[in-house]
Amino acid sequence: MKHLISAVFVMCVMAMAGGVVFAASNDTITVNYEVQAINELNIDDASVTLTVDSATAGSDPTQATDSTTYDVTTNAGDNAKKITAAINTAMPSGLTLKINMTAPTGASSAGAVTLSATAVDAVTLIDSVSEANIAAAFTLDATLAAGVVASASKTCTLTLADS
Amino acid sequence: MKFFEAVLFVCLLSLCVCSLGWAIDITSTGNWAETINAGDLVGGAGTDLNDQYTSASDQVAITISNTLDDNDNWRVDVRKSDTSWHNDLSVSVKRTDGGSGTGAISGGTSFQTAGAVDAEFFNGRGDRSNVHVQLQVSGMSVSIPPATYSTSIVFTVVDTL
Repeated sequence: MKHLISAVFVMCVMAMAGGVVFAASNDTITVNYEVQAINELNIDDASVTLTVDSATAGSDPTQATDSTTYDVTTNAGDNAKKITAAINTAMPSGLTLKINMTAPTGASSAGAVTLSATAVDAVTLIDSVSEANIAAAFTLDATLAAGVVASASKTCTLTLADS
Repeated sequence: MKFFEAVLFVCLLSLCVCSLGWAIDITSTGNWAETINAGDLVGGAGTDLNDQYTSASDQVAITISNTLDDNDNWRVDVRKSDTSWHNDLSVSVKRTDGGSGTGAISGGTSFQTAGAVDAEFFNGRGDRSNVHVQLQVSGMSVSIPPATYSTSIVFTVVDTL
């Protein structure tokens, strides 16, 4: 009889416990996110104009300058990208066109680099970054030997490339 | 007397088995996939990605079934179980409607972040069908490297008093 009472007591406790919180069941859904490579570069001005038209007596012609800004966004990771610069055709003899691009945060600027038809590194070691209105300055130098050069235009291409 | 004791024993045993073996069921349908690319930049080059991405309001449908009756109370907990996820990203859930059914439903109508452990999402009583849930991912930026990220959202129904 004592065993029965004990058994009844245990079962009552189990029944009460079972009534308070029953077994739980669950189900799941999956969230999948794909982040694709993002590499965007934009030059904010359509053109810059450089005119060499003066000189200090006794010196070469005065350097002409003009500037623009650029915007860059990339998620490529640390030091994964660089910006190269090139113009569509070589400059005439005696004229030197340069670009000096300020680097976005964490990257490194090559300073003033001479532009030619061959791409040259202007900014290196670019991390994942999103930064707008970064300065880019152009300069044009002319030697006396260049003489008078008729107005012309060059297309400068900036490329966000793999390091 | 022994016959009476035997009947009592069998009845109580049945009660135990019934109360411990029975469980409310939950089913959820509606996975969510999203692709982030340059089109998701806030303003093109020089700007970052949008921080938040929100699914359709009826992205997930949850059904609670096998309750005893309309007075059988339950709650639904939610948690996140990462497969390959980025620590900067969080997932939130929000109940956007009450579904259908003769019971009742309450709570969960504001976005709440799904963490690693179960937390109450919403509660109710009785069977409810097609309770719709919206998902939201936050914390996106260009600092998150290109890859595919995956996590599971686990909905658990718990029978309560």
